[in-house]
Amino acid sequence: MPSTTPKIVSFEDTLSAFFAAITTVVASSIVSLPLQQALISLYNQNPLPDICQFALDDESASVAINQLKKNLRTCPPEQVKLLNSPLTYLLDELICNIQQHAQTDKGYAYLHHDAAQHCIDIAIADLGITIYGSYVAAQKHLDKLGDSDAEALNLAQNGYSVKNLPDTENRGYGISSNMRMVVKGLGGEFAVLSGNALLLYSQDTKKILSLPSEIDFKGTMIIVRIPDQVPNNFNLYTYTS
Amino acid sequence: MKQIINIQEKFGAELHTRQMVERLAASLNAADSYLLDMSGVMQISRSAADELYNLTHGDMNVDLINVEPFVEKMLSAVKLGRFLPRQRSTTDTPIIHCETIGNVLQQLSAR
Repeated sequence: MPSTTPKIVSFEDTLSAFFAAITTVVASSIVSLPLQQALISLYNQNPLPDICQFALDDESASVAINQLKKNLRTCPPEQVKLLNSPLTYLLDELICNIQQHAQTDKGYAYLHHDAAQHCIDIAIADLGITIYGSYVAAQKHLDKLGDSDAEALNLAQNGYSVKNLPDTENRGYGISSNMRMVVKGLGGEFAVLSGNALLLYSQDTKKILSLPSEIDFKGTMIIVRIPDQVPNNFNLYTYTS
Repeated sequence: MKQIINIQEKFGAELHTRQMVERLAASLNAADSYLLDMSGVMQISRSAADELYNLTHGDMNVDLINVEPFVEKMLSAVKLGRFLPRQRSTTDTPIIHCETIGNVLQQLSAR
């Protein structure tokens, strides 16, 4: 274990390890898995195989989405069928967010089915301008934003978009609708790390952590864990409008 | 005479991103009329559906035909969202300031 205070650095060559580690930590919830483990993994730079990097053009994004869904091959076929719509919705919207807001040229994604734990871990990340940076770049909602990544996360989870049409709130569904779908609809957990803020949302808790200065992720990462069984009463459309 | 564009042939069975529809819109000629044949397009993201709504309700003469049920439902959700006020949670999400990694760990393990 490193003797100095661990520092999360968002260089690309360490991203995959960080990605894997933080995914495990946050997705598995918020459940008491120690953050140190993530940081140690970061230091050791253990890459995971289910991570893909993709350019943000349409074709690359589509290929990435289809490639990620193939990682469901260990799920029972009937569940793969049921999972297709919500997972496609989640991946589409979050990758679309990177295209529209992150001001970067590529994204990273991870999808892993853990058959033993009966869950699916997903993460979508970019090394872009962060959610806070996106509001500032668009000069939107600055009155509510202050200088805080945490306030920016709060706005995003409430669906405040930087790109609404003048007379309607037609945008801002990417994070807000997926949060509700994952937690309320699928019984999963949802986390967003952006800059030095971390939003955690599960059945039991919803909170935003303003992180200590050692942790500053230069980009945005969305981390999701969902059960590999879709509830019988799940209806995607409940969450899309 | 309206030109028919087969969307599945152009983009495949899934419209993933807003960019796809933006690219389609950029390829159309404002002076012409179009029918977008949506048969075989089985999935659409909300973002792409929103952009499709813009395209079919904007200045250009563009209509959809043969819309599959999933796409129809997503377009309905988008349409509904245009006319209803946005529903937001009335309860604030607490922002907790963590000064140390220890504080973060405490928060991660606290339910």
